[in-house]
Amino acid sequence: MIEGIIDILLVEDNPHDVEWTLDALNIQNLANRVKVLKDGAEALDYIFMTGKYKEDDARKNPVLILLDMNLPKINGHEVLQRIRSDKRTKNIPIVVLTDSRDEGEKLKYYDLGANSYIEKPVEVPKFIKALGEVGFYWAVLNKAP
Amino acid sequence: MKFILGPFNSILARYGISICITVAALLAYQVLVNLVGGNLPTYITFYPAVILSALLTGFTAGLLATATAALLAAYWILPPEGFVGSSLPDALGLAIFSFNGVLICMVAELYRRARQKAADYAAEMAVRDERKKAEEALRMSEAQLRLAQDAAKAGSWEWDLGTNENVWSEELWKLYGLEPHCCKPTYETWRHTIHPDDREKVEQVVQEAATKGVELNAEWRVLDRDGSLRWLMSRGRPLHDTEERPIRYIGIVMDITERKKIEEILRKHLLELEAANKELDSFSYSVSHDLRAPLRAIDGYTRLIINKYGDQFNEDVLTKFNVIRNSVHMMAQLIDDLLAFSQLGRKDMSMSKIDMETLVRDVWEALQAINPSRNINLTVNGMPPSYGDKSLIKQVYVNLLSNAIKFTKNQNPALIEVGGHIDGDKDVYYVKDNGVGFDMKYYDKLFGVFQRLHSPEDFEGTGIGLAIVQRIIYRHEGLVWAEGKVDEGATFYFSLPSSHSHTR
Repeated sequence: MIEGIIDILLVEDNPHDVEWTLDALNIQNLANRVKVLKDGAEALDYIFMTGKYKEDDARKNPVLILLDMNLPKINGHEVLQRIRSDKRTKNIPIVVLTDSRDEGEKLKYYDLGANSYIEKPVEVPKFIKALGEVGFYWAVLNKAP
Repeated sequence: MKFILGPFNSILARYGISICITVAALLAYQVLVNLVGGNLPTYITFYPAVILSALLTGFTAGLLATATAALLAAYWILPPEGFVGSSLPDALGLAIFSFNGVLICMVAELYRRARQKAADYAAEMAVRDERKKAEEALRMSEAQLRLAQDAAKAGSWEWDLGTNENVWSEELWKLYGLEPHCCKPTYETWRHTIHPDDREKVEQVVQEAATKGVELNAEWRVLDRDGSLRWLMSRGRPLHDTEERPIRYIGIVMDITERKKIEEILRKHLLELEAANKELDSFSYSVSHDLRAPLRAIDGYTRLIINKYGDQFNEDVLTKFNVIRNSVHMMAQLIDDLLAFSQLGRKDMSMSKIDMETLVRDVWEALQAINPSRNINLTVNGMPPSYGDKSLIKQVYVNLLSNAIKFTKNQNPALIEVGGHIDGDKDVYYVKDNGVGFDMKYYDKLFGVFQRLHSPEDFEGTGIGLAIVQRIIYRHEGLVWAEGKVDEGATFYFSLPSSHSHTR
């Protein structure tokens, strides 16, 4: 297998949701490009190559970040804010994934600069279909900056 | 009868008149003598003349009249004509007449003075009466003011900016917690009545207003001798001198302890309300974020099991798995509905005029997209525009029309009708369908939360749609009601306060 570039970041702490997201992306042949991180602090370390990822080789920005909102340590809200406020990373396409159905929250995340806001379906087939389409659009169709 | 002839009050006039009267008396005497044709007592007409003159024209004019009369009598009446040599009786008569004339003048003068005194006295009494009435009126108004101040627990004050002296009403002393008139009311004494914690701030406010010469408003606490705390509010207005500089303040002070108490209670309630709302927000947040993931797991792994090992199970087991998955779907729906319902009271409504016909058509378009296979005949009758929160009223129609679509699923053709009319001060709207209807016997369950009149096998749904409709309409201060008959359809009505009473 060709060592592909890992340029999709999935920040999700629920292991089942991770599994179904990868299933979805697999259908679109995107799963091998995914780096999975389980909390907000690690996500920031990875993106800015600090802390645990200090020694990494210089890395280009991911072409897509799938960011769940309900994260331990540092929550999705703050991760989004920090990525958007740094000029090196402020244009990375970020798709917010959430279990919330609140209109207010939705607007809040758009205000923070989310490119897309997905309300995760409860039913798994719908979930897989949705995430597959999202992944395809942003990682394949869309041209990242 | 006037005893001092008004415009003729000058000496000349009086003297002139007294002389005229005397001359007239002489003429009258001559006339009478001719009439009677014989001797008449000499002074018969002069006495009345002197009396009249003395009464009318005063003492000196009266004396003049006497003298004139004497002269005229001596010259014309008494023989011989002219002043030459009268007989002794005539001379005596003349002397006595003159003496009597003087007496008459004196008596008349006394009378005049007495009359004058009486008139002066009456005038003085009248003035005194007027003053008394005015004093009485003033006393009444002062008493009323005091009563009003007492009732309102208000006192009035004056503050001379130059001398810092104050004038305090009775009630004000009490408000300041002082024995009335126990000391000289000044700015300093006032300052000392203020609670030490409030003193500095109040002084600052007052001095600032006085410097600018504007209305002053201050609130502070007074510590009573018995230790109780009272809140006072003072409002004063400046009086300016001719050069627009403030020289004095007049104002009132009111006891606002009650108001402050109520404000405190309100503030506490507001805090409680905010805390409760925060709790509700965090509850909703938890519900949103934490309940759906586990449901997803149940759904996902059930499907996984069926997909991977389905061929190892019999029909019975597979059916049971289906039940699990359907329950997940139901539960997800319940969570959505519960959250939506609990959020209904929280958001502010933004009111505007709503074109109901367009709104219905928009909602219908969206619903048709979700139900493409259904053949439904929708009639939109004329509807008056309404006044309300557009997104909430849209939700009302989404719920009512979704219900209509759902409960007519066994009808062919399915007929749905919407319309509305103005009814006095209300706008009334309806959604009518020819679906499965309901038994009016269960009317009170219709709008209940999670209350259903049909089993989930027959018609899906959590039974919250109408509860949401009702809640929204109630928030608009409208009413909701329905009519139905089993298998003969149902009509749902709602009313909103008329849009006519609102300007755009």
